[in-house]
Amino acid sequence: MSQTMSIAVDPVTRIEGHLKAEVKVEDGKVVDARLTGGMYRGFETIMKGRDPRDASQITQRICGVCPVSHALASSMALEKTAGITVPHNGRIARNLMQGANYLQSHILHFYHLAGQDFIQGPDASPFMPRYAEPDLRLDAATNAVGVDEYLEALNVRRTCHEMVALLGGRMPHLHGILAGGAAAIPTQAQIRDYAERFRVVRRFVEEKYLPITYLVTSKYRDLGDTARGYATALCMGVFPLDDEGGEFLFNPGAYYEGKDHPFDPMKIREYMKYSWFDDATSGRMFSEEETVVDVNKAGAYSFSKAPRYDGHAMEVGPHARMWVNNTELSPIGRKLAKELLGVDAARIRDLGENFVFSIMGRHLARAEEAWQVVRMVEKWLGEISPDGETFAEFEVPESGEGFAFTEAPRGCLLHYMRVRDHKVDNYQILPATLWNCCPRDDMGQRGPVEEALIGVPVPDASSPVNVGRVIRAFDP
Amino acid sequence: MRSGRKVTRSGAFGRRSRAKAHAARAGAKPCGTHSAISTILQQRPFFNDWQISPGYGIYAPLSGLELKIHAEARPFHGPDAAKTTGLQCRPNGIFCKEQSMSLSRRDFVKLCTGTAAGYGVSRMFHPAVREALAGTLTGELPPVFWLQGQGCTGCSVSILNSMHPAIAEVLLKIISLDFHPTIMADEGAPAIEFMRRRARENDGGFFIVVEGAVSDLEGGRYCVIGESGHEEITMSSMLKELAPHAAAVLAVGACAAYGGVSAARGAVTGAMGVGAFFGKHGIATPVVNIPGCPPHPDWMVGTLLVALDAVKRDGLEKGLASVVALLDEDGRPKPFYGANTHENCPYLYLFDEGVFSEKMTDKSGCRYDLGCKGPFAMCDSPVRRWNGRVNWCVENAVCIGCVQPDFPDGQSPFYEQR
Repeated sequence: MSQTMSIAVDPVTRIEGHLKAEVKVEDGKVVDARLTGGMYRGFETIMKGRDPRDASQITQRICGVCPVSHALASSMALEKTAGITVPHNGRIARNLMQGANYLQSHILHFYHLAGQDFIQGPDASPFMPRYAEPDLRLDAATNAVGVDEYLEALNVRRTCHEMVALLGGRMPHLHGILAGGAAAIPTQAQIRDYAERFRVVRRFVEEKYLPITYLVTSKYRDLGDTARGYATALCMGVFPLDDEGGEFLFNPGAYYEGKDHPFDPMKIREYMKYSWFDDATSGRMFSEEETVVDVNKAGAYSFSKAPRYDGHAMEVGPHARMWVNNTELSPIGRKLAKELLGVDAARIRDLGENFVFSIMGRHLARAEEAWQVVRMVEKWLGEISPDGETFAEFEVPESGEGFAFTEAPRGCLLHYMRVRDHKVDNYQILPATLWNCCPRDDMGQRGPVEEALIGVPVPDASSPVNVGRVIRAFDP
Repeated sequence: MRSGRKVTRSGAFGRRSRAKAHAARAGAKPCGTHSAISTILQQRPFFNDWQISPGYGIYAPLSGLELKIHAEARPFHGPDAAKTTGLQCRPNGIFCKEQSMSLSRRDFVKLCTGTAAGYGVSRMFHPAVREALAGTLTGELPPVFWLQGQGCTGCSVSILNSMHPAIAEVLLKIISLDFHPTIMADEGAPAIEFMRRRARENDGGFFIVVEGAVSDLEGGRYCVIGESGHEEITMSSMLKELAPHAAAVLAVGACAAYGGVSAARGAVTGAMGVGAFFGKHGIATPVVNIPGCPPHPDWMVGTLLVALDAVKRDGLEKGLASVVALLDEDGRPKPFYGANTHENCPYLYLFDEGVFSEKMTDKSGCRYDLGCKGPFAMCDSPVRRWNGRVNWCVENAVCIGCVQPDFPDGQSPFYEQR
């Protein structure tokens, strides 16, 4: 006899922001899902009329976990508008700040946010209470390692913030990235202190973060075959490797319908039928969009808009970046993939589409990406100079427009700015969580996480642990 | 590379009364202490973990050692230096006089009540303080609920950076964090109901930390924080329900304290700070503002510890009264927000000498002309420094006045002087 029931999880915890998940479960499996972004502030209207240079400070306040990425995207949008190029040393300094924050964000996400989906914490707040049937499967010894690393990771992610602060003043909400480049030329002492801390972080990623991710994956093998979703991927490019922005550590690209496509920003549209915004500009490009909130709109269920690329709902984040670039795995990863998962894999795609687009695949890609960043930070440390200018002076143009793409740790980030009378006239932001956690579009197509939830087992309605697992694997 | 522009400046701060004092000082001959500090700053990283203290001495933050420096003070080198000077050698090569390391319980109480003017707030995390505190917190740990309104989670991320005490110690030994959306294991209605149960069991004896602004427009629906029994729970309804039963509310960050970026010009959601929200809805629970965007972890943890200790020591009413007595007119604890940022800035002597930077990456002058809001901001960042004390705002760029009630609108444009 088939049984249908609705389950609402609100708040979905251990994420950044306010999110509600509503799933319809039939015979122990999710058959429909809706995600609701439950908080609105309205940065688009807050930015209007301000000094364009203030965007790097104001828009950082969108996200306390990835302010570096918002500072970068807003600075790049104004640099495009003003037609200036950041000096070589400024680009390297920015990469070092962004790189350190990637490591901070990925480590925080795996251990302190998603970790408790797999590792059992001590019996005290905030680790208790938890679901009655939490489906935690690690043996006592592995679990103890997990708890130890949870505590150690608190220090390591703090150390990552110190690395950002050495070049950026403080974290969260750094001062060091602004339109024109980086605010300070790093001193020899700062570079040395950064390198010293980096060695600790590097060791942690190689000896702890990567191994435990593979270990946990091997204990939850079925979750490596769960939550496939659309299996689409979008990357807008991050960590420029040359001063012209032609080559990136993760190059832009799109993947859908099982094929690779070049990234073309003109293919992005934003839909609002199911969002609490006025529909008037739904389905347009970001530069032609107006954001007018309407919390009473009938049929709407989220403060998130629904961005689409060439009509497709795209997954973004580390697994998308790694997939689009078919990035190589770390030496330790290759070894562990063979030993623990029984897979011969040199690159991410060797792990298979079905695995990478799964709960554990998304976690594993994030850990592997951390290793890629570690590898490059090492290189940039050799390139940064205490003598090279990091900042290009410029005049705020009377009018103009510019958009910029980068990638926050959690996925694609786009900032668009139009300037008139030296002030911001229109500002649009398309952050990662909008791509992953959006509602349906005007055609009724689910968002990527909504789709990934379909088919996910929920054997016990009072402990819908897999719902949170799917959502958190995206790091929303 | 001293390319800063040298100008004599008088009345640069116009009508501001605080600044008038500066204007009077500008142009005066720099005192010996300032020159000594500048000498020391130029010797970095030799003095890497030494900071300038509010009394223009320097101190090593972790060990609590302090040395008042004089114009003639300079580092001593060589194996016999300790003998000739009678000062102790520190690992980083500087010699100093060791001050008494023992901070008695009485001293701590004095510190909490603000009468120990001589102590720097860095002492709040002295090991002796922590011991004193541990003694007061035996038995059950006090419940703390961390509610997130319209914000960015930056305050939560910042408090994770707490070092003295480390955040793991705060979470496991000092408080019982029974609700925090970003780190708690539980989720959904069970998490909401657990918080409600803990509130009932500890009526009047729990603390609420609010991060983010609150709005009651449109029934509070600009910020929904959960659902229980098919009922939507907004940030404003949860606060109205729990706050009257809380011992006190800590409004952390610019948004919770005064509205911040969430309530900036152009915002349409009716976002406001907790104090304003309580005023509007007649909630009398004491509110302590810990502004900053984000606040320094020490400001949050330190205030929480002081409040917990005061309540344990003197009971709820008297204890809270002693905490409220620490607040300035904007509701901020004076030990952290009592000093003007500019007056404690290590580059103040450059201001006094009239040397100003004209380009962001030129660090040889005072950053006033680049838009620095230090003269209009009240916090101890220049002394406390950030992220393991490796850096701070003005050393890297300019102050943006994020601790002030009128942040961001009254403090921007950030890169122009007003």
